[in-house]
Amino acid sequence: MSKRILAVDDSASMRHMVSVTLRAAGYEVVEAADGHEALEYARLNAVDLVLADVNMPRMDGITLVAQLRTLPSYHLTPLLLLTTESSPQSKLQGKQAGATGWMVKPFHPDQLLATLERVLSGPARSASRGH
Amino acid sequence: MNPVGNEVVSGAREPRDALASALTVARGLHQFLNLGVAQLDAAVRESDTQVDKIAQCLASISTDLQQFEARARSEPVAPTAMALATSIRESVQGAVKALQFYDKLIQRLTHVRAGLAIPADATTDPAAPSSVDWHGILDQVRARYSMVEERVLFDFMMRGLRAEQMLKALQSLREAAAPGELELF
Repeated sequence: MSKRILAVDDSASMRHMVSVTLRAAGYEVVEAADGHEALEYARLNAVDLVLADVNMPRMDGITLVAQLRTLPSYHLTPLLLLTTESSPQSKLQGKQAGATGWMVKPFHPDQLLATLERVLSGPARSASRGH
Repeated sequence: MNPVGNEVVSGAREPRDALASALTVARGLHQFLNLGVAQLDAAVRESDTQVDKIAQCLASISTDLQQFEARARSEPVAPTAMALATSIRESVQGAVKALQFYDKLIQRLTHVRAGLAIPADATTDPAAPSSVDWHGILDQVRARYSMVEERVLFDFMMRGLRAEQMLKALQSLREAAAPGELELF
């Protein structure tokens, strides 16, 4: 079964770019336009990895990560932040919220796929489905 | 003519003229800021639609390519066709990377918009320009920035530094922040 990735970005074109890259590599991709929409989806459905932008309306990516980490089924799920921000302070906020990693936009498709493969292959990283 | 009287009349008129002139400038600036906001909104709306179409086209090409590759795994396909598919896949990947710069551009424009809209909203009463808290406005504008580059540019501008100095600092920042850079925690 292909891994399900939740791609969160308020920019429709960015969501398309992420989806094109991940679907071509065989992943199932679910898209959300902001942290709030992503959290609603994640509460009701299992995902194997969340790839979120930081600056979004309604709920930003760092708050989303912090909220997801409070859900028992997301304690070990890889949560990656993909953003134009690269300041050490922002990265620290992401780390403190519980993010697995921080990637600076623009991404190269091969680089993104290698990163996903790396974090998804961690022994305790796979999400339990059906919650 | 009484020179003293002339002085009194002239002295009373000058502050009034100066005030009227300042109000005209304040009104003009307010309208100018709102014009900038409206122009940016229109430009972003129009380009968003077009870029979204490009992104959808790219997604369609990628999906078609996936179907072709799936078929090629079960049916015999000419080697030239496979080479062509590989070449198309590489082009799609290049386009995916290049198109992401639009996202960065839109973020920058959104922040420029905020930089115009915040002072425009704060000066809705052009008759009271002296009550405007400019330091507060500048703080609000700076707080909207999400990119280090934007903050540096803002700080340099506010310190009155020269354009060449700003460009030099921005260049070193760009070199320091490598796109695609990954940090796992």
